[in-house]
Amino acid sequence: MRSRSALLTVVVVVALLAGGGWVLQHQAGPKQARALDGADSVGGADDAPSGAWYCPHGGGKGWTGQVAITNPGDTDVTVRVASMSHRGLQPATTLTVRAHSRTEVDVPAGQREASTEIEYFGGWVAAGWVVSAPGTPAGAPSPGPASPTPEPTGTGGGTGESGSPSQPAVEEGVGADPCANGAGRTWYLPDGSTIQGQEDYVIVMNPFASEASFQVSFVAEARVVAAPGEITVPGGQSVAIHANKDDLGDQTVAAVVTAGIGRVVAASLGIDDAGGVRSDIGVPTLVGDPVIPGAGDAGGTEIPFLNPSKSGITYGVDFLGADGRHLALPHTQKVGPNASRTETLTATGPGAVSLVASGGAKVAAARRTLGIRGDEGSTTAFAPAHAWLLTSPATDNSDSTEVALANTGASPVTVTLTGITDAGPLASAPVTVTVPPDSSVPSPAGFLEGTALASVLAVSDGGPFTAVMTATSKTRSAYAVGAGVPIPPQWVPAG
Amino acid sequence: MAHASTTTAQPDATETRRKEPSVLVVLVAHDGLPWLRECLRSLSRQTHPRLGIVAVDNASDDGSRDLLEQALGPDRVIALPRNAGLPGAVQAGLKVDAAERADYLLILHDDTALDPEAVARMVEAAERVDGVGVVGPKVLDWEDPRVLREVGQSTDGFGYPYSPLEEDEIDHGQYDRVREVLFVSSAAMLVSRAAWKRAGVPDERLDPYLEDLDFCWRARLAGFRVLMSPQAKARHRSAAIRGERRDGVRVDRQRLYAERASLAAMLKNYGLLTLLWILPLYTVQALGKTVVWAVTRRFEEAWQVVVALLWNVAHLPGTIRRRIRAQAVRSVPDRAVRRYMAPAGLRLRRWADTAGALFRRTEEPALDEERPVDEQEELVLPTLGARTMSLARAHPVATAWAAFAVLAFLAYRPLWGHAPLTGGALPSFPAAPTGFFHEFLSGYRTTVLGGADPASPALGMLGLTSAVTFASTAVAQKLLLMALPPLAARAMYRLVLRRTNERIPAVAAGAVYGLSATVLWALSEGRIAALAALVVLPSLVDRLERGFSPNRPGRPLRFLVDAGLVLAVGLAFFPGVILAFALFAVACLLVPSRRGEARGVGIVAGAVVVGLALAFPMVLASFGGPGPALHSTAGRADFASLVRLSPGPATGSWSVAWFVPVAALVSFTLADRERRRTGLRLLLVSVAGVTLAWLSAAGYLSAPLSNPTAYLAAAAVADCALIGLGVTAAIEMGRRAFGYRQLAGIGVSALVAGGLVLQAVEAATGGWAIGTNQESPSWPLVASADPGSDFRVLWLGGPSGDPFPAPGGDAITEGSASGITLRYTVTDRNGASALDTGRGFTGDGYRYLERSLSQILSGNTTHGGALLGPLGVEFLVAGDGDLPREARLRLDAQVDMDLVPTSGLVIYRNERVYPQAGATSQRDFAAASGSTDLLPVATLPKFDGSTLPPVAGGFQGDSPGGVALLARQFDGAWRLRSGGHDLLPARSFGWATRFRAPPGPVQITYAGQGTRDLEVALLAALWLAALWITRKPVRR
Repeated sequence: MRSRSALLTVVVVVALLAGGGWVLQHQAGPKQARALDGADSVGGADDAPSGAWYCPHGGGKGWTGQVAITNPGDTDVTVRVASMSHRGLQPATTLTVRAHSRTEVDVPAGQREASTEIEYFGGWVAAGWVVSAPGTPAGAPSPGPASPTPEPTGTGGGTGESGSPSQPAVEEGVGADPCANGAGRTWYLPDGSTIQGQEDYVIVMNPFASEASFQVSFVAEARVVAAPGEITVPGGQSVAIHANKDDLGDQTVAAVVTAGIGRVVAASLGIDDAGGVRSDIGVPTLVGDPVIPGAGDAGGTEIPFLNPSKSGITYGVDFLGADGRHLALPHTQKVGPNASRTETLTATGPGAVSLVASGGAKVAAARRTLGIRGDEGSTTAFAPAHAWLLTSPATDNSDSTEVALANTGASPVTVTLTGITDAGPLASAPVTVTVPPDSSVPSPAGFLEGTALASVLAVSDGGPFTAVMTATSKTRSAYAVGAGVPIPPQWVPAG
Repeated sequence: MAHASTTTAQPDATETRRKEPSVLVVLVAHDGLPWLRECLRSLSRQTHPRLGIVAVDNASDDGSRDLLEQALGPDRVIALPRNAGLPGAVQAGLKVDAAERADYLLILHDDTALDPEAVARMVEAAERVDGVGVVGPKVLDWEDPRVLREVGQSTDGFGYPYSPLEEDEIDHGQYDRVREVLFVSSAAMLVSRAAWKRAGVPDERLDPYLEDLDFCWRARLAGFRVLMSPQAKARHRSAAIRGERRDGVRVDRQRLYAERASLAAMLKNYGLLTLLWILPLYTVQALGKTVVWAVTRRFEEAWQVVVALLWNVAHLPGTIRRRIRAQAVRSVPDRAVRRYMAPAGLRLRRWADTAGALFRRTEEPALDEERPVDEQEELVLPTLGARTMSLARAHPVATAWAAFAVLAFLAYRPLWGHAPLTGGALPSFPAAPTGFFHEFLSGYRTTVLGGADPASPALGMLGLTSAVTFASTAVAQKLLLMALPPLAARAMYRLVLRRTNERIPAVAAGAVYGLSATVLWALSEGRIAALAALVVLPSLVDRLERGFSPNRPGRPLRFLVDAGLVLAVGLAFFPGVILAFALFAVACLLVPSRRGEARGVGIVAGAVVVGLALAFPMVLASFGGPGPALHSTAGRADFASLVRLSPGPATGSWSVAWFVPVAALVSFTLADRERRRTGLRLLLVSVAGVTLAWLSAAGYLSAPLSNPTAYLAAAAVADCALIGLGVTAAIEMGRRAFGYRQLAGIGVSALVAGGLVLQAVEAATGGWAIGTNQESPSWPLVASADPGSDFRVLWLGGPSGDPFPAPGGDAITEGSASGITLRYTVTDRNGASALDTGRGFTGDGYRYLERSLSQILSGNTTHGGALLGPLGVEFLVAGDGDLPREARLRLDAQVDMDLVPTSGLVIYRNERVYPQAGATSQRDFAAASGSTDLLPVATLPKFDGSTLPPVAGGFQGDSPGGVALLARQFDGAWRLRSGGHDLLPARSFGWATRFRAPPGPVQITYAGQGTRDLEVALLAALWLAALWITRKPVRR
């Protein structure tokens, strides 16, 4: 090989390296990594579906609590239910929730910070809580089942409780909401008020073995009050923070829980000393243009919301009825950065409220309503989904329940509602409801008549929608609203 | 200096009139007939007037005795019945009556011929200088009297002889002055009567080597001077050293004789205080020397050192007796003797003196002022730079080592000090060398997920290295990191030297290789195994090229075994080296030599067979399950980076590193006809190596073929060898007409020189991933957790070719689930371990780990802790920002894993971890462990049982009754002993080991150790045989 041919070879090599290298690097690129063993396994030996629900439902002296666990799937699911308070984690109860059925488990609710952890294995279940204040004076015998945990003395919370429980003389009402399906570092709790006659609590549970440390900021309309210092919760315990201790006299006291160490779950518990209990799970993420359906209420609606961002927003409120969207509050309202606000409006008939923020700003919002027999109900806003499982907020099968559906999409959605009772799916055929665009429609009258405790599986055949379930007691002042939980796509029952 | 001149008294009339001293010559003969006649003739011509001769024949059978008797008469010949050596012969000679009357004794070898004036001059020197006990002549070569052979000798502090003479130094009077020295040769040694009476006779045990050192040392202790008189000349045949006597000194045992005599002389002649400090130093250097020789396969020399030590131990009583005698006549302190010894580092100083002399000449032109102007112009001396180049050209290897010493001093600064090294991908070493040996001998794997795959022979080597570095594994670790890069450079030097026979190109190639981005990357990240591969690969290529060359290698069996041995060393440390070897072999087949393909194929096949045989347990294991780790995940899929030989970010991987491939390409165009095929092969390997490295890193090659480091190492070797060829061609350019080749040659030289300088500066000033305290500040949260208990750590990160944060080491593999791609590895609590050198991470346990990870990443489960519990994984660790966001969310969702508050690392602690060995009565565990399904595992509650702590050979503790779980990959050789019965194991969780465990004390033992013992014995025999076959001959 002479120099010339050697040079030619080098030129070819350089060209190959440069061209080939460019093609490999920029056209081919690194190959997608191989699938891990068992990555595609569904239903086989490698399939180990499991999850957990965290229910920081709270409670009070003489209160009773239930968690309802609903299995919409085709296989039985094993669940493990354990209660916790500031005294730690109680021994777990293991039970099986049969396919297409629900189970109700009594849980201790005798303490403000009472919380429940539900682990499930082998399928997917939804869980929600119902806590009930009996309406008896403090100290009077509780009408409900005996609480296995001692009643609180002195301060009602665990480590870090910043306020005295100062329970009102009479606590009456029902609070309900779905449990949270995961712990996190940030929780937004938009529904809180510390005006006279309102007691507001933040219930924080730490379901892990290691201690968690968090801060609570109470965001009122014009100020932010941080609860003093970091609050530490040992592993397997929960605490209740009394907002009135730090912020008194504000119509809106939203709370932001930020965990510096570990992960927690938070909910708000509001008690009206005139009678009324509201219980809302916190939301870990903000929602744009939140829509919250409602039904069975007395007409008055309050929309507390929180803007935790660093810039103010302009917003308005629309009302979505069966006949479409109506302006309820001009879209020129303003709220400052890191501030909260409560908007009040009177709705005529069932419908959804929609908080419309300019620029797609995201907020944490709730809807607070009053039952026709008294008692308050509220629920937080979630993003629309294609399938929901609604756990009944009723305390008795004789209660009156309604499912409210809202569709903010441009096309109508047809939603199939299936009741799921302890004994399995309702004998009656599933109900199909069509929700027009920008509308809210309640479930047909008589749906769940006599089976108010039944959970409802709501599945859309098209676009996403929002759903809540309300319950009104026929015998006492008890009204509750509970949002549904979105069903993960792989667990949406076929057909 | 070792030699001192002595002043001589001026002769006066009184002295010249004085009666001449008598000299008795003791001529020691032993089969020296070829030279004896000349010796006798020289004696007969001596001018000294009073000379007596007695010959002692040491049982010669070549006619020497007859000649002596003819020449001297039978009365003056003492015939010894057996060879008593020189000391014995001298002692016999001293028994004659004349010895009692002689003033001087002249010990003379039968292969020494004296000048006529020699005796007279030696006597004259002895008489004129006060206190002289011993005088020796200037010794010249027997055949060429212009060549100096001895002008008096010295030793270093350890008694090793040192001569000021260069090899074949010509005598032009440079040593013509009376010199006071430590000792003179017994070839012709004049000893005063007082000296032998006081110091005694030569030690007969030290025959046949350096008995003269011991004798002269004793004479000096007794207060006598030892002189070399240049006026006295002698020619010496050195027949014994040349091996010319029929049953004389065994030439190949000179080291033994020298070592034993040196040590014996030290023990006898040094004072106690001196011995106290010099003996430990001697021991260290002897040990180091032995190790170096053993490592370089100079076994016979290493063995001779050991035998010499043993000889001295065995002869200690005799040495002590002689010591008492020697010390009894001591009249001077040790320091008076040590003045005549050579200082430490003499060789280095001599080289520096040579260099200094060259530079000092710059001052000499001052003398030119006295010269005519024309002459001054003619005598203009080279510039300093030119002299530097001249020095470097004259001593390229020494210059390279000196440059390396300076560079190493700067670049290795993070490695100095006593603090242990961490960082990069550096594997942790066990606390003691026994850790390596235990693992090597163990029948089961004690690391990570266990199993029965055997340990690599590399552990034996690491253990030995640790043992000889003061039994400190930390020192061994640093030593390896510091020594392997220069060794790699040296291997490249030898490869190119053998191809070109030119030292400068070989040095250049070695330096480029040592400073290549690949080597610096491996050093920076503490990749000892990769560095070992980088050392081995040039040696392998050298053997491969020789195998395929037209010339048949001499001693084919030795060559084959040697190649196999080198391959086995590479396989032991870095099994992927076989991929690089295969790449070169394929290149040799594609571009064959004119002759030798068939032989080359045979040699490659033979070498592979030998190499595999020397690692046969690993090979056998690979057929039945877990095998050696051919593949590696280290290295980024960055083509431009790989072309410049950098697998990842590290010091030296900057843009300057482009000089290597560029210079290699230009060098290829310079290859002449002789080396063109070699050049083409190297070019092929270079291009293929880089491409395969990228394909490996990018995940296109199957796991057993995927090893970016191995392919890049091949490319680095090829590039540097090409550069060697190019520099050779550049040096040879001067003989050809000016043209492209000259320009290209200049270009290559400039590229290499500039690149080397910049790479060296970068290496000297850049930072290394390894060093002291290179771990994340958060790591102690894991390292110090649960003291005394064993647990495992699962390391996670996004897809990349980088190691995990220290001490996580490299990923086992990459994989994806639900669109989330992760790389992961699992380690023991101390992180990546050197005990896993050369071993893979495969088996059912790793499959179980993947299944569990899939469930976690897919979001299907929130009980990842329970799934990882059987693996003993207590912590999940990821680098801050290294974990994909989706993966982080999935992990956050796990209900049984606590997020530990840290910075720098993301750490989750598993609430549901089990002990590595434990027993429990929980029924859920008995049921779930019997299944391969994950769901029952996910439902398991927290482990509530007893831990079975590890003991020698297994685990032991109390069982509550139920099931005993061993978090090690299943092996049927495990047994649970309870109540005197051995219970057989069953698989747990589809991969681990479990037993039915009755209540009470239980012991889990391994019953398969015997097989491993046999394997190790056979392996040891094979290695010893291979080492013996490939041993290097003794240097003369």
